[in-house]
Amino acid sequence: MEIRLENLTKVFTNKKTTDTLAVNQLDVTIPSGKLIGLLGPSGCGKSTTLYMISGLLKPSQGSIFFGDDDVTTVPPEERGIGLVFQNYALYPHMTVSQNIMFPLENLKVPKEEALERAQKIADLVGIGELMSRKPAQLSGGQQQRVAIARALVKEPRVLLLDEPLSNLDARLRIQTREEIRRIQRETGITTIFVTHDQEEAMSISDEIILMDFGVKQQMGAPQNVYDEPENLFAAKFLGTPPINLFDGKITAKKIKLGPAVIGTTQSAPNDIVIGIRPEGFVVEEEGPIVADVEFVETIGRDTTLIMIDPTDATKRFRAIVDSDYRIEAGHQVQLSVKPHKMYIFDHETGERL
Amino acid sequence: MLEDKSNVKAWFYLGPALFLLSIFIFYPIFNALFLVFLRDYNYLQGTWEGFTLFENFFYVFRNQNFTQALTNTMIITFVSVPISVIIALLISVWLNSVLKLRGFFQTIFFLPYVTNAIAIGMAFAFLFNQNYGLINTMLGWVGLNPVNWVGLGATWGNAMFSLLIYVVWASLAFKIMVFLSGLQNIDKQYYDAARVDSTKRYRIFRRITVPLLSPMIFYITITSFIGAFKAYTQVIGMFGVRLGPPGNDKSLITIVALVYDALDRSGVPGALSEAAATAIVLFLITLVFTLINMQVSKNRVHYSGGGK
Repeated sequence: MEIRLENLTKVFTNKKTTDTLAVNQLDVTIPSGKLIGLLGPSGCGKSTTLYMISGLLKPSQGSIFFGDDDVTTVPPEERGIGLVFQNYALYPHMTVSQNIMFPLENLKVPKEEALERAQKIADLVGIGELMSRKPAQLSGGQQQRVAIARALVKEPRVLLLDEPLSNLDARLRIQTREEIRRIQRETGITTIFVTHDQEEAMSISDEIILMDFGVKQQMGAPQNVYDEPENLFAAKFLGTPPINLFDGKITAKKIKLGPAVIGTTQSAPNDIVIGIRPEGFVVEEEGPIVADVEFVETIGRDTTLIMIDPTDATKRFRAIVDSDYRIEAGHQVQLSVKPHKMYIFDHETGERL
Repeated sequence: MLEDKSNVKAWFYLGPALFLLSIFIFYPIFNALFLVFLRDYNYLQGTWEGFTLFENFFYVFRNQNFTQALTNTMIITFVSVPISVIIALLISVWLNSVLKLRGFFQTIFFLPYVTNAIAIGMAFAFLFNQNYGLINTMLGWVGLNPVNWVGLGATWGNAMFSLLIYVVWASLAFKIMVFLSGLQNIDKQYYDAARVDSTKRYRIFRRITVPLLSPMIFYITITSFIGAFKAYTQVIGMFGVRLGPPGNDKSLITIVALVYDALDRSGVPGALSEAAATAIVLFLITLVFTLINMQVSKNRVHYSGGGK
């Protein structure tokens, strides 16, 4: 099921304070059968978007299409969606099996068929033996799977997950996100999940939609967005450790970081922000950037250098280089930049140049 | 040392409450337990004729009003409690979903709780007045003849019906307040989840609201049963010390009324022990029904987060 959001806008009105523009004219087409990560910092409107797709929130403007059907005014109970809540919202008084069968009872599926389908979906998500337990007797990861099973059992057209991993501990999070990936592949259901964790979104999504201040920043395959950020926000939000930013200048088609010329461009002379990924530096004797090394961390094959920003001595930047180089704190190094790991942005608008 | 200090402080805080409880609750309870085994205890002279196990209880059962009191108490309890719990539940679910004028409705439903029972009783007595009362006026609108609810020579049935309406109404306020706070504690996500899963409204009520509210419902049911077994003020409020409509005196007598009845005769040797024995009979009835209640609801009450 392809999902299309057209000009989708949500304004929260509040008597006491000013209105909040949570989602601003969002235009997105979500391809059928894919796992989509809706990514952004807290308060960027990603959950609001998800709840508008579910129908629990009404858009202030714009339309939502499921395939060719305009579902903008269709109530949630008729949209055929499965929704997994951040806190799972499992009914505490029902057993796992009753929780999973609950949506089927509403659809008047005969009891035996319901039992069979519940068992099948429970086996799929790996909780087949826990059917007679109550939610309180389950671990966080198990509760999460019950919630997914409950959302999937009625064979929805779309599966929506709100911060599905935020209540799990670090190890379980990695395990469960792969589980979500597997379940999505096996069912082939169009799935949208909301997260603020870029690593989580990058690791399992077919495509990510990056949002900030209610506005879509960029959409694409995770690696593409990482490699080709369209603006400063996209460059800053993706990547651990984060991208290094420097104030630079374009003079006579040369990109200048302080005195160092680190590349050429066709753009007009301007104040710019230069973004260089930590892995984008190479230690070279003739490298144009000269920096003082403040601190060296060697972990396995990688060496991380923390250096003083040559353009602003109060700032630090970080480079990940091969541990072949023996570099010590307090020394000076010369660095060159891999062109495809460097991006330049307009100083005012943050747009990529 | 530290522990000693905090203990002293705790007793200090508990002191005033314990002092009052001792005088007005603990001493009377133990005194009643003592009195019940005295033969022909004379309150005025402080003398008695030895001890007895059951004699005072025989006095209770031989009281000509005992059967009537027991019947009335049981009817008041078993009719008013279920009806008021169900009505209160429906009203609170409705109130919880009302957005406009909610505070206004909440105040209206809460008013009986802060109003004097005798005053409400008098108002109800007037509502049921044969000639001027609102009830008979309304019956007139649909072409029915006026009924003698609580007037001279009113039948036991009519008087009991009026009393029950009053008891149910007066007990709604507290229940609604408890249910409403319970409803507001239920996570909204359960309702969102139910909506996404196309759950019909009555099913949401039956399968989600009621189970999640069950600890409150259980608490209210138990305390209401205990409260209803003690019915007395309501009868006084509506019918005064005659305990029934004029000409049908004592027809609405309750067990607690029997206690006061015996106390009225406290000059007579043994009367005080009879009052104590009546109180203990009421205590045993209450205890038995509370235990039954707890047993019945054992598997129907779901404490959230429990189950472990």
